[in-house]
Amino acid sequence: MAREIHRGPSTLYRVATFPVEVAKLPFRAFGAGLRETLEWIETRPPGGLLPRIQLWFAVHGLSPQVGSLGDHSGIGGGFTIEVPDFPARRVSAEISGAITNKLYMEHSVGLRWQPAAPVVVYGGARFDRNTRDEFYGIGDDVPRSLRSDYQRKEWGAVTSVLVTPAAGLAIRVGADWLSTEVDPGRNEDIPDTHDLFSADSLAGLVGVQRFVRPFAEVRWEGREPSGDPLAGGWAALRYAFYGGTGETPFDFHKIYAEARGYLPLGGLRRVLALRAMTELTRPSDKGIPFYALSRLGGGSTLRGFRAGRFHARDAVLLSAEYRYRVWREHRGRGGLDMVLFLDEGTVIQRFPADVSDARFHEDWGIGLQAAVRDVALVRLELARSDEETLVRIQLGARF
Amino acid sequence: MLPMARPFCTLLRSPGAVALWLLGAWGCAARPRLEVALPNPPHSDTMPIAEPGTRFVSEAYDLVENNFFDPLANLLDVPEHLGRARGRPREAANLNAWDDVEDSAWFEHRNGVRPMTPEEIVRGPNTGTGPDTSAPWTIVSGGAAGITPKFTIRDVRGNRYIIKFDPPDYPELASGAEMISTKLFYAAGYHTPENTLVFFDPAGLAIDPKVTVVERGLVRPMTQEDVRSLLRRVGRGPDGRVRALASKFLEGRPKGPWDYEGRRADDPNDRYEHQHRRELRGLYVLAAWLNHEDARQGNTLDMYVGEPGKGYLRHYLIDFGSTLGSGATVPHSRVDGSEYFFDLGNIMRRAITLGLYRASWEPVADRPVHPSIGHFTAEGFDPAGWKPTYPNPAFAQRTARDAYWGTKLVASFTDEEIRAAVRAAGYSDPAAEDLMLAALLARRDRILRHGFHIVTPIESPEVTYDSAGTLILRFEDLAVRYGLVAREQRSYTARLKHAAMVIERSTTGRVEADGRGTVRFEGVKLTRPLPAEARGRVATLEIVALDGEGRGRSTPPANVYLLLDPATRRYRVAGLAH
Repeated sequence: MAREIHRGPSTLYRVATFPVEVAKLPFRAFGAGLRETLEWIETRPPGGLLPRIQLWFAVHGLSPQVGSLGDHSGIGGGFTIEVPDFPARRVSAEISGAITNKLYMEHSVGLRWQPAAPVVVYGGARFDRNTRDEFYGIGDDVPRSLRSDYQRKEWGAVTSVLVTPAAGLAIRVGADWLSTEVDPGRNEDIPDTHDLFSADSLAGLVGVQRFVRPFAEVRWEGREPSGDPLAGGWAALRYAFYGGTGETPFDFHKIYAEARGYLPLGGLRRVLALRAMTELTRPSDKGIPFYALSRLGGGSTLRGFRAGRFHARDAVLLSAEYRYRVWREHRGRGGLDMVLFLDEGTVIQRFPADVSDARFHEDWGIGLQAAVRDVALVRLELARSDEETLVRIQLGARF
Repeated sequence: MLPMARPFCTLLRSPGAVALWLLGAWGCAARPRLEVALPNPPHSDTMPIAEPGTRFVSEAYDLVENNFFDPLANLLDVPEHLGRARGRPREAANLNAWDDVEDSAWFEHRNGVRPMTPEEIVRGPNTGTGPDTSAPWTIVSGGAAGITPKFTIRDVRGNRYIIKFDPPDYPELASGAEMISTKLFYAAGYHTPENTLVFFDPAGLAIDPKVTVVERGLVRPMTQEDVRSLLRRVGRGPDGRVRALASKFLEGRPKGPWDYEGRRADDPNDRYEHQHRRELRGLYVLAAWLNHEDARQGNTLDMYVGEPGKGYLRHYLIDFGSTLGSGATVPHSRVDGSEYFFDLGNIMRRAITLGLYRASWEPVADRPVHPSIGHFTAEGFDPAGWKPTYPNPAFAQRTARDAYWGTKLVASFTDEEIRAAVRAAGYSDPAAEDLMLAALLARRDRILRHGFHIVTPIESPEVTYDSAGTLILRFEDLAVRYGLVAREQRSYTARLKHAAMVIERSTTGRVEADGRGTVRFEGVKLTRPLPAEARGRVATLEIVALDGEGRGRSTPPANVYLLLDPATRRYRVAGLAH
């Protein structure tokens, strides 16, 4: 979690950590029936190989991970090592790396210092690579036929201070240095963005852009419980200024605001979850690279559309979910939820002036979500829009 | 792990077997019924066997097997479904001619045959008075495994005990439940450990130098500070002493848990598939009464009793910390005993109704009735709908006859005997004792009302003849005996069939003044020569009980088997099936 909050305003952390025996399970299942596999794993005498492996991981602070790194990224794995009290007391070092079969990557190294209970200072570096981000053009009505992909590589170094002045309230300020480069996409089935769009028509398509990005963020956490909410709410307001350095011809501001509310409806566990989100991108005295525009589509926004389906300066999104528990773990801290959801949103050039003329896009769907110890762990979703029907597996909570 | 005989494995590995199986089921359905034959006496299971190996089964594997594999296998058990649809489910395999089991390594008739005194109920399986407290105990193994701490001690007499504690916020919860359930399961006939309540001063604990603990992956000797740290998580009495439950190591050598399904391949005495054993199917009723929702193989143990090569496996129920209102580390919740851990039926109902379906347990208040009791009442208790946490293969196979057999075990406990078992819990608050007793009595009564109506509950049949040659069958009707049906309201229809003698007669009967049910067959004349073979000598007397002068509800028939004596040309009772 510390890694997520320190990485910067636009990065989602989606690699889930599983016990090592769960990660191994599918591989053994190829060679034997599932029943025999489970029996083999679970009937080891005490002191057998598996407990030793688990103990080794626990002692060395290493967490193996499986999952994905976002829409279209495929399936992969990685690790995180956390070393407490290194190199000094109250300082911890963490190193993580993850890669998927489609060569998406997220690597980072950092130091976290906690001089007092409500203050955490973080400094670190990272490298991310998305090999097949998609782009269709700018606007709320661009055709699907313009589907293309590009590869985005980003280096970063960040320092930030996180302060929690009151329970549920977190304020973070900091700055990072970013270096972003756009290359041809790796998806051979669709055209490359460079083939459909020219450097003249699409800002940021060629070259390396470097930014210094000061940012500030306020978050309020009022969900009960936070990992699988039944009641309460959550809100975030983020601001960042992307100042181009050297020959980078871009300067812009980004404002992101999101509010979530949860209404308990009784029964075993029925809840109505609502979300409103807007992201505004405003140029300063220079332009905005296309990959930094606000976007909709994908598992975290408009779920019936592919990730990156709509791009423009501003985006508006409303989501509603009806979640109801169909299976409750006996202690009541986990179970299986059915989910019915509805998303509506659009991208526009200027909020709120263009909202009335914008074309809003809708989708709906159903899902099945598993929660363990009050944390939503994994979700299977089927989402449908007027363009297509998509099935996704999501690790972690939707909202 | 040593293999168990598992029918589901066969099904999975051999798809062709499914087709043969279906054909077999069809063949069985089409075949005419055979002449009545009395069952052979069950095999003895205490014969000397070579010492078996030790079974290991993990809790996680048991969860997956019982919640997913076994329910699927049951769903695909076509012959069983056909049999139940025709009103002829597969009955238990280890029955004698009296619809009962013989004493065995699994079960011994106790209170149900010879009523135990309250003192005998309280003593239960104990052969002594528990660990000797005249000298300090020595911790010989254990540590902080599990949420509730426990360790193993050796007393000055050299006996070993597992010492279990109550959760700090719920004093007497787990130990009280375990004491009561131990006494009742034992008195019913099952093999249980010797459990004793103990109060001890933790300052007097010594530690065997060989005892180790694991800290951050490193193994080191256990210290007194480890013991103090461990005991900080348990409650204490006003005098500073710690209340705990001491469970004596069982006689013999442990050979791992026994499963509620299949047979143990390395035990030649184990001839009946466990899911078809009457005492395990009928255990459902006791488990429902005592809310033994954790009835799974993890809470069982096989012990090899006797010298190597001369002993046999005795099968124990162990660990009753999750019974009554106790969930061992926390009180039971209202869902425990009402829904499986993964209850596919209720899951589908909720999914289809968008979460509006409410299970039977949902309206029940989810709070302990007393800190020492937890959540345990008769409110919402359904004797036929009670569910353990995991689907139990033996419970799933139970028939009305099995449930009736279990009901007789529960019915054998009088109010005074139950009160004696409750007193064994040593509750410090008399209100807790009263609440526990009231709940047990109310649940017992519900079980009786259900269990004595699902079959015709007759026992102890005897045949006599009067001077006119009238055949008179007299029996005890348990529904009448326990006051569930008024004597005047009870009547019977009876039918005597003896194919070999071409006899088929019907009559009616009622309860006589002495409380025994009676039916009379006048003029039963045996005009044909007696058949030579034994099978042809068996006649069936089918009895159906009716409430309210024949206008009320009837119960499924009981069959009294009569054997024709060639010398006297009269029948005598040879067996009974409900």
